[in-house]
Amino acid sequence: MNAAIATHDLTKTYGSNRGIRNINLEIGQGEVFGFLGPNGAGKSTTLRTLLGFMTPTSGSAEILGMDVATEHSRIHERIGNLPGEFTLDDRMTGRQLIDLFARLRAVSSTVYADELADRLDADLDRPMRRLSRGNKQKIGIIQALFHQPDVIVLDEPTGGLDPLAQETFLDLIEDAKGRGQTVFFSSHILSEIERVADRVGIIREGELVAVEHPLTLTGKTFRHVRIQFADTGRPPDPGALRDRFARLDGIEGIALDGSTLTFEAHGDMNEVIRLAAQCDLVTMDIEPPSLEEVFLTYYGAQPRSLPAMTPDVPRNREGTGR
Amino acid sequence: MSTLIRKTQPHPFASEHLRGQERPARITASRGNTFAVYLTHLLRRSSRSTLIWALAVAAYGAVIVAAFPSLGSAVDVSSYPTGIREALNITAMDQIEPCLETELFGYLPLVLAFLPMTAFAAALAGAEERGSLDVLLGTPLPRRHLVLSTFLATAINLLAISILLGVVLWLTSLAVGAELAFSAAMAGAIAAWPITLALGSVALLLSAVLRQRSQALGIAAGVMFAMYVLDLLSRLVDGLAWARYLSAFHYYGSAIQDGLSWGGAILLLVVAVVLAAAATALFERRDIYA
Repeated sequence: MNAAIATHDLTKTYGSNRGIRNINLEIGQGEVFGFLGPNGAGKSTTLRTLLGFMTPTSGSAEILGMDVATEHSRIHERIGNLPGEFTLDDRMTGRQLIDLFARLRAVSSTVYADELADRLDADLDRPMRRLSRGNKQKIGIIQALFHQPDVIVLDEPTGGLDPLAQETFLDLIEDAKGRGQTVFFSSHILSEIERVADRVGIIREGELVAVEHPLTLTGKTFRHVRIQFADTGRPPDPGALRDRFARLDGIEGIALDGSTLTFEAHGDMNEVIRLAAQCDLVTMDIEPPSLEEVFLTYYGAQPRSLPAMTPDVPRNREGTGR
Repeated sequence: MSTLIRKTQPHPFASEHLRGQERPARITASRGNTFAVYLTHLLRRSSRSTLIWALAVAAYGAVIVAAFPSLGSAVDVSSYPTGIREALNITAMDQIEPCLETELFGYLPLVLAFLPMTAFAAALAGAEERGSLDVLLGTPLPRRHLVLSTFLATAINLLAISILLGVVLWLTSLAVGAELAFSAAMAGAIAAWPITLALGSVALLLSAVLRQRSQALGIAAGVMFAMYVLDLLSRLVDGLAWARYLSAFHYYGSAIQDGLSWGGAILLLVVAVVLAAAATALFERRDIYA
């Protein structure tokens, strides 16, 4: 038994048109797995089915070799869980909640909980109804990590956190990985998944459309390029330069505003940079696409950005009628 | 992170790992006595509201007992229609027991049952609506322990309220010289326990099945009032005498006047336990939505 989490054609349908279909995943022990997808794609449904809150319609899944449908109490002994909406009894303080969970989990030491609170700058002594969303979320993170479980399942863990706490959270995930803990977390923030995840699963409309290394994920997509030409007064003028860039392979959406040229580079960046090196520049910015744009690439929702430029992107097999 | 200790077996005591290390390599957890832990938690969290309920009910009872010496002679119930007197168990007001039956115990379950009903409706359906079940059930606490510890905690709270009510009634009667026997006071008060628990457990069953707190609470309250009316009608209408057996209030009786009906009390407790067991079985299987 090597996989910490394994799913086999895991399917859960409920309500109208909601749910997940035939999810096949294998997450190794000690792996940090990011789960990326827009709202309503099935991230929470997958995580909640794994946690035993819902019974699979078909297919199966195991955590640490235990069946999620029948052995959830035993599984819960060895996991830490942060649901998408973290709330319990708002009259309780964070410390009271941690103490209760420590007793339920038979954890004799809450030393690590105090360390986590310290690092996240969390207030454990105030009733949770008095905490802002971000500060309450910190309590949620602490209760998911304080017992250093074998498997950590987090649904949108950085929601509401300020940038500093987000950064600390990513450090904590790296610490957990260092201890050999397995982390499965969902997010819609590409940069945080890029930083800590070993692999990324992309889910769309209930189907796992790709599992990638995070750098592959962003590498497979285009870059936004913005070049500001120096005003030398000599030829070639910006218009002529624009035409040269436009002739490169995989250049789209090229536009010139004064001496500033912007375009999307879907092809070989080397050619773009070689050509840029021959020009007098003030600045040149190369930016990865936003998550929404990566999604569009993977989901094929925007036909213009897909053909030829990104041939190795897996397309949705059935083709979605969008 | 150079001293990595990978856990192979669940270790009962984390402190052994902690000793002599700069930081915990891995804390170990297993499962506590989740039922006892959660029951203790519930009793502690509900202690204040239980105390408020107990004081309110006991204070009301004390006022009636204290007012009895003047009330008894002021109200002439012989002018009430016989049917009404029978239906509402009004006999005479010149004794403390019938007075308490009319003024307190006759409808005490209608009020007191709202304590278990609200507690049960909140524990499952309400918690699901608020989204707090995911956090709680993500711990090793099994679902059945959540249902049964909620049931037991509420039963304990209700029993405490009943006992306090009986004691306060008796003490007040001593103070005003109302000649209320301790056994009668306790029988009357304790008799409220099985019926309120049974009526409340309807809400527990509904809470386990339905996903809305308000539905569980509303339907359970409707069942209770329907049973109360059925009990009244079965006494007023000759043709409906058979229907009294369908109402929980029939098995409640009038313990302060007639002594505790053990058969009725046990039957109501059995109903409560059966409803709780059914709630557990159904909640164990169903999907929890976020």
